[in-house]
Amino acid sequence: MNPEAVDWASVGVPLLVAVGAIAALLVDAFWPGGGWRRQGVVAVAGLVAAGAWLAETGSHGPLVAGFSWVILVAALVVVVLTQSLEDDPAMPPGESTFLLLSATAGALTLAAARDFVTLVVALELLSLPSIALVALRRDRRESVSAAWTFFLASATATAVTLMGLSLLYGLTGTLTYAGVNEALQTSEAPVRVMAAVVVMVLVGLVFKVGAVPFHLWIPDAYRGAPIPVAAFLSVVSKGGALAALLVVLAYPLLPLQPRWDVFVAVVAGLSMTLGNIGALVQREMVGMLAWSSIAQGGFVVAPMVALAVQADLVLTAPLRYLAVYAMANLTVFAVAVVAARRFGGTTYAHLAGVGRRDPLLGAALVLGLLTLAGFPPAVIGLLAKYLVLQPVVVGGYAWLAGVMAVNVALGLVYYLRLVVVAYAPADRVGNGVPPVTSVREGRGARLAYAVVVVGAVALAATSVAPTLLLGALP
Amino acid sequence: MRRRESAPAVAITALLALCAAVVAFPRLGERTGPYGEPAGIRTTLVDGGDLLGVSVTFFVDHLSAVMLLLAAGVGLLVQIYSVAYLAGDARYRAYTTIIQLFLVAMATVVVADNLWMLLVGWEVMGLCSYLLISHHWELGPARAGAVKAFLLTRIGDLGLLVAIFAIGQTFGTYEISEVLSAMASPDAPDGLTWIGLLLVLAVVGKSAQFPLHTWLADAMPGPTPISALIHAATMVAAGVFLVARLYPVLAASAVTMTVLAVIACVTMLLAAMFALTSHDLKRVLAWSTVSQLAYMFAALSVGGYDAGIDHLLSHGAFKALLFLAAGSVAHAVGSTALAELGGLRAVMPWTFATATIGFAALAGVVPTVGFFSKDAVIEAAWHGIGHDAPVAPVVAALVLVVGLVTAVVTVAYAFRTWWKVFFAADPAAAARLAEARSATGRSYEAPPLMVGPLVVLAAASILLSLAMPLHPLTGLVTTVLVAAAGWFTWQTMAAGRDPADLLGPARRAFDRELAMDVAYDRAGTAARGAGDVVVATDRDILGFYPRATAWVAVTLSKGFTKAQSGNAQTYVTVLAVGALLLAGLVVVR
Repeated sequence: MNPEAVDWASVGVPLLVAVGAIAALLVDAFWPGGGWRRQGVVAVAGLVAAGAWLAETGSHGPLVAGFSWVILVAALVVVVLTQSLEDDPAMPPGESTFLLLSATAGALTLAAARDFVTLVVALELLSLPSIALVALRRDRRESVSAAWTFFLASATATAVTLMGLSLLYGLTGTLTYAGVNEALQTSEAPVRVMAAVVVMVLVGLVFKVGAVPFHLWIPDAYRGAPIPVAAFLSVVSKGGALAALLVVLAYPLLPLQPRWDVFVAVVAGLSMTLGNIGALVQREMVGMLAWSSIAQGGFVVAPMVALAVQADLVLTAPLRYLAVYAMANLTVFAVAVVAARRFGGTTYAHLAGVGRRDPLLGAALVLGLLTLAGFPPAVIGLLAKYLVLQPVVVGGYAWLAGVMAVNVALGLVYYLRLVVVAYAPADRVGNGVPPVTSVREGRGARLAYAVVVVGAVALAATSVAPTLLLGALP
Repeated sequence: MRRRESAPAVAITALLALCAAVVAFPRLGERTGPYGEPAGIRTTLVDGGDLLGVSVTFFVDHLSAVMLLLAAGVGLLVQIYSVAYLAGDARYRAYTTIIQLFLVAMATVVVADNLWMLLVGWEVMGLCSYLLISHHWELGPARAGAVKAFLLTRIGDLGLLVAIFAIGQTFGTYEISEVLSAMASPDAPDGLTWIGLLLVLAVVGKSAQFPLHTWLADAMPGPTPISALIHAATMVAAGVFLVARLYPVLAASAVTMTVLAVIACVTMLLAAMFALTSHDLKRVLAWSTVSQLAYMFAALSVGGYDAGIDHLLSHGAFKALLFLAAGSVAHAVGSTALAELGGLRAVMPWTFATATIGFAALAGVVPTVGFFSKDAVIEAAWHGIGHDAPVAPVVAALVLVVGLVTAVVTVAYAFRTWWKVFFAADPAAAARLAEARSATGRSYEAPPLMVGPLVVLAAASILLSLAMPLHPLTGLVTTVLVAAAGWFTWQTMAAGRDPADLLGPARRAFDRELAMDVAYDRAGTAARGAGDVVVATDRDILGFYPRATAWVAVTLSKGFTKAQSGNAQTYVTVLAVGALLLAGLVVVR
């Protein structure tokens, strides 16, 4: 391959992040003792360089660039949050940072891929480091167990996708997006066969999104992993997979939309419903967020059913929703990080009355939860819900719109419950277990608190002027 | 007096008033007039665009400026007055905060360009009114009055809500300035009768006009300064403001204006009669407010746009003065029942002097502002008979006659009240006062912080005359009428009789305020019965479904949590079966 054939505009972004990952590993190997602080600097440098490259070249058009921005910014926030792991001896800073950046590079490649081979490579590049991150805390049985189930399920999903790809290659004779798109329009093969093949291809991506029925790994992995890693899984990993899913559905597989729309609609509807129902009985913040992220994944996937409409509002809805979700979810995860350090845990008993003990933390938590619920005064969350509902209605999937509406209401139950907990007197939550207060301040906690503040300000600002965020996205 | 609490409250209110003045003064000259293109200035704070559909926009012209200055001025004086009046009150801080909220809401109403913004301010005013009437919530009448005020004004608010929807449908915009432009253009939409009637319903509720007039008098258990601010000078006048603001929309339909004129005539005379027969100083003032508001509506309905607004301004000044004077009396004596008052002329010279100016303005005696503005209303009705008013000449004639009759009754009740409060020949009451005075050893006159606002408002009640037009002929007629009525009432009172007794057997009916509340109570009981049935249905039949759904959801949720066994085989099986089923679904379809 000659150098001119390399599309540096889109390769550069994940490449710079990957370079950052290797730099992190080398710094740790040859210059040990720097700890989380030095690793954080290296990681931020890599991400900022990638961001500068992205701003300069613009990748493959605005949509991919938009997804890349969300992934990069979210990864940056996660890197800041990982600084809170500084006093956790089980987490090695060098390896953690390396794995984090590798997975981010995978997510970016996933969004920018233009053929199915790259897609699978990127999928693995995202999956394997994520699994390793979950397994990194070897002393905890549930971490190892979660990583193990995560790995087996991931391998199964990828195997199904690979089988689908080999069949697709057999049918079309090509694996580039453009070639598949053309071949599917002219192919003589029975449309039912091709539809089955398409579903198999999509399984790997939907698995990474964590949509039902490929969601079982999520609650285990979130609970087994350190909180910043859970935040990573819920935003960066999910974001990359969603970008790839959108591009694949909107471009190479679009000719088969009348076949796969039911797959997307059923997966979206099931994810929302089961995710919300699963979250109802959670009495621990990260567990609740795990189930809620399954439900939120359903909301992002839903507008993709209407891709045949070929309008901007359908194409951009998932990205806009993802951006809002990322903001809110990262804010809430940052609150969880702070709570874990300050109050010694993230169960509702620990969080009882947090809004009274620390008004700013409470306000950020409430704002984040209301955004996730789509409930005013978090106008931005409400708008996001509207943006994903609109294409579904325009596309004529009224039943799915109905399911979404019911699920918005269902989501309110558990988001608002945590809002209530945040302002309740401590003795009225849980079984009256008094909150454990183990104040462990420190650099990591302060940085996480800064993320909380920035997130709250961003949510409030975009609620007042939604065009700040929605105007910047395509 | 707690300086630590009162100083910030007054300072914040002063700041609000200053802001209002800065906004209002440059716009005083920019008259949109009844039918003209919107003058004044239009600013956009948040442009909602197509995404939200509602923008935060302001529209300030002459009308807004007058209302702003009135609300801010009276609000500031009331806040200062309250420092002394509510000294030692346990809920003073809440009280001052609600006054500030009220002022912001009132400002929102008068400067809003977007009708939804106006509605928000309108509703917040209703809320503030509710909260302030029930300030002494340990008293039963205060609670009952607050609930009544809230419910009756809600009826009107519903009218405003539907009217806003209808305006949006008809004009394709929610911006007042655009609606006015559309009305000023040659191709104005027609068929506006329903919108007009809905708006009339809105103002009937807010301004306590017949048949929703009963709440205002029952709102009097609230602190007296609040009666001055909300239930005389500003909030109830918001109804008049709304009619003036959307005047072309209402004036486009003769039916609407006729309905408004008839309501105004009925209210005007009825409320004046209630005021004449009332036994309580504050209740007299409340009914006179209802009656005077009806004057404004009457003026607007016969085409007297400027007369209506002028009377709104002048009434705002002298009624605030009267209520604050009543507050001063209540502060000193501890009661506002007319039977317990009397002979206060000697012991409260400042209150007496300022209240005299207020009563003179209410009665329409010559140099006061009430004389000029009331004449303008009469003149507008006279003018409306001959020229093309929005209503038929016969309606204008009705307004003229009822207006003159009411002016006479007004003189009678103003004189009666003034006499009973400040002169009173009752020796028993005088002895009681003297005894109380010697026992406590304190002066009856109000403290300076209360007298100050009284003097300012008294000065305003005279000086505002300079801004009012003079109608020599009508002025002469009304002066003769006022003098005659005053002379007659004086003679009656001097003879030891109550002018209200002249009503004869009808007096008892008016004493009960025509028993309209009894009818409302019956309606309330019936509604409560119906409500109980609905609640029972909801709880026992409809409520079953949500409860069952909740139970199913929670059970399922627990099931899912149990399914998280951590068993990799289960997970992979679910994954594979799921993929298979979905693929099957896609193929079969």
